[in-house]
Amino acid sequence: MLSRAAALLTLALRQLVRSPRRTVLTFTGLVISFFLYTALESVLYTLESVVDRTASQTAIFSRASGRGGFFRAALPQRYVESVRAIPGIVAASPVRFYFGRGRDEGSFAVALGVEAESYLQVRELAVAPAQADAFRKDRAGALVGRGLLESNGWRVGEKVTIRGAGRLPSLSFTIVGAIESDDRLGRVALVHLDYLEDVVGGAGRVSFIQARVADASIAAAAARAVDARFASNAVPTETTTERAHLAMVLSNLSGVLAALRAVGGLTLFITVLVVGNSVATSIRERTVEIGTLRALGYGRGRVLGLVLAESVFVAALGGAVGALLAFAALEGGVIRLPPRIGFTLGSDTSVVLRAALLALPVGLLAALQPAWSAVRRPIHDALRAAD
Amino acid sequence: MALLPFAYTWRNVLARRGSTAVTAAGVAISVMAYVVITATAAGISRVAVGTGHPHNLIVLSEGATSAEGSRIAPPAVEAIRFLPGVASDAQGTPVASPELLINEAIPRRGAHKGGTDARFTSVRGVTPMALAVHDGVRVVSGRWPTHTGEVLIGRLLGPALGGVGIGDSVEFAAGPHTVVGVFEARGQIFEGEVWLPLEHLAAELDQREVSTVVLRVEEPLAIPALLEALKTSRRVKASVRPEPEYYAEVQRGAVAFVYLGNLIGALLGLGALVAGMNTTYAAMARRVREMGTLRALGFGRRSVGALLLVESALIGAAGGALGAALALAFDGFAMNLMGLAFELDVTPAGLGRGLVLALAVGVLGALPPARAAARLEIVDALRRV
Repeated sequence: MLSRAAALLTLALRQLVRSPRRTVLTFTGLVISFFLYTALESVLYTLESVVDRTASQTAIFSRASGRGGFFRAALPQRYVESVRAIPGIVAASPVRFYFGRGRDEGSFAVALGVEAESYLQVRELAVAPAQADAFRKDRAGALVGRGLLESNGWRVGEKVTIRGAGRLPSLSFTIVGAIESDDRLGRVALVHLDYLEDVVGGAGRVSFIQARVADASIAAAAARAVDARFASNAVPTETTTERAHLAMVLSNLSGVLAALRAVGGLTLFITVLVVGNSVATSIRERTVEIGTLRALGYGRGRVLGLVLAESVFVAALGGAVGALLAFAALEGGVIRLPPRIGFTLGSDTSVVLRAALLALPVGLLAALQPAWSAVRRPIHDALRAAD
Repeated sequence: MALLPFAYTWRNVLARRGSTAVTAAGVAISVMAYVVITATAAGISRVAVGTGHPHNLIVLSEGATSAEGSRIAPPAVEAIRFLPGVASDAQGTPVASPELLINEAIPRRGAHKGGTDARFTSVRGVTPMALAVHDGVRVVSGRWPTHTGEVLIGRLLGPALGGVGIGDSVEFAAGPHTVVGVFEARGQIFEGEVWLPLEHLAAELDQREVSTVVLRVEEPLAIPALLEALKTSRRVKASVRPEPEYYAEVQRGAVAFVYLGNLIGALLGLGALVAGMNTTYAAMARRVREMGTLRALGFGRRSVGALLLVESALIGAAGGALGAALALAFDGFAMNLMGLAFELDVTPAGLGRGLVLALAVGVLGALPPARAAARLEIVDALRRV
């Protein structure tokens, strides 16, 4: 079985080498098509997996219902005690937003005022334990995300000041540690809530309460429980799981995602047509040859298999190369969105594998019709084509 | 150089219908994808460029760079309204629109609050003066909201929320609100927003301050005096920008699509080019004797080479025309991206560039085979079977 396959492959290769220009052009076309297809699928994958990759499965957060906007400090801070008492909730911390002016015009430097001890329990921060300790102890200290440190040129140990956006006063703090993560936390500064309240006033109200549940499976139920607890208060809450929130943000991109899928599908469709055309041309030139083979006694099936093998081989090779090139281009940053967008493209081996494997049916499908119609032709008809 | 009759070329193109069709289809798809993605960028730009009146100024609180981050207290609003240079209407009232802007994730039709099927939407609390300040805004169906809980929605918001219309409910802030009217705004960004009376929204949010005051000045020459008055005012600490300039920043979103369009168009075009080249080489190989005959009849090398070029260009043009026609079907298609509602704008420039892409693919793809055809020796060609 294996030796037959090997023989088939060898014959296929020899066939392809006979018309090198056509083989090279078809191969190149396939590389380009699968490069594009893999790139599109990678972008889709990166976007759609954002929820699974970056959302904490056990995080829920509550904000004041109906107060409009996510950033206003409208939630009573004292709610946090009751939130902690809810079964299933392991830790909870109040969080208050502070918007400072960033380096670039129109950009923001965001600080979060938190209750140090409880926040460290709520989120698994990528911070060295000694630095986390320093944060606990220094009221004017801050843990700053790696991205924010780099974009402002700050270093651990420095005392820095952020100018407030709008009418907010400036905020100064000492950087006692760095948060080594490349998600949202990598771009904020964590300060003490009471310290922040001293600077900007308005104590007693926070932007939201962040909590951690014991297990991902009860996150949604815990969120509902929080809302039920405060439903009849003057300021009711609205609690979501972080997963659900990110999924909602992602759904705002549904138009783009659909378009990417459509282009990907079109690319595959066109590839099938083009490869089919190439195969058809190749077969047309070998009408006599195919007729001869059949006259010699080779069955339809074997001749068909030979033609299909050629097509599948070129497709598989072209598809693999195209997919790998796309992987390299995306992961290596050759193709990337303009930096202002702030979103990194990338790829994944599963995407590359899937795309490369797709090349096999593409090669098969493309060659099916022309190969079959050639093989079906009566032998005498085929032989007559020899002038 | 005697050119071969066009009819000859045309008949050749039609002869090999299968290959012609496939190559043309490849070009068509490249052009269609390129034009549609470019139309997305153009649609976003059109909103950015079209929003705002040249005589309007947006007043934000000092240091604020966007309306969402701005807070102006009522006494300051009054002072701003009466700044020198602000136009007055027939009754002598300043043409100044205080506005409260929030951004909410509004659940789409049929979805529930807090779920994953929601769209970021700007909700703007306005006074009737907003209709005077913002040119081109008019209620096209239904009526202006009068009772608490009633809202207007922009023309493009209904489709974005899954087909919301008059009588339906939109949920944000304090709860469900009833849509009592739809407004259009001549392609401005407001067409994706929810509008409701300022005092209703302020009450819901329990907030006295507004986000911005949009002023209409008599004429641009009055602006320096207005700015000076603002600078020296002790009651108001604010920053002012021309309204069109403020909204021009929306254009940033278009950049990604321009990039994407160029990339995808180039790759698909390249693929079509390679496929076309393959076809043309095959055509050349098949018609060697024919070309030799033509040469023997007296047609020069370049005529014979041009033959293939023109045929390929024709196929490219046909594919381009088809792709352009398909892309046109998407013109005006409503899209919503992260809270920005716009319509795809298939511009003549975009179509033109698409057709250029098609011709380039056709011509460039035929260049190598055409050159090979031109180099044929008559004797060799006629000898070939």
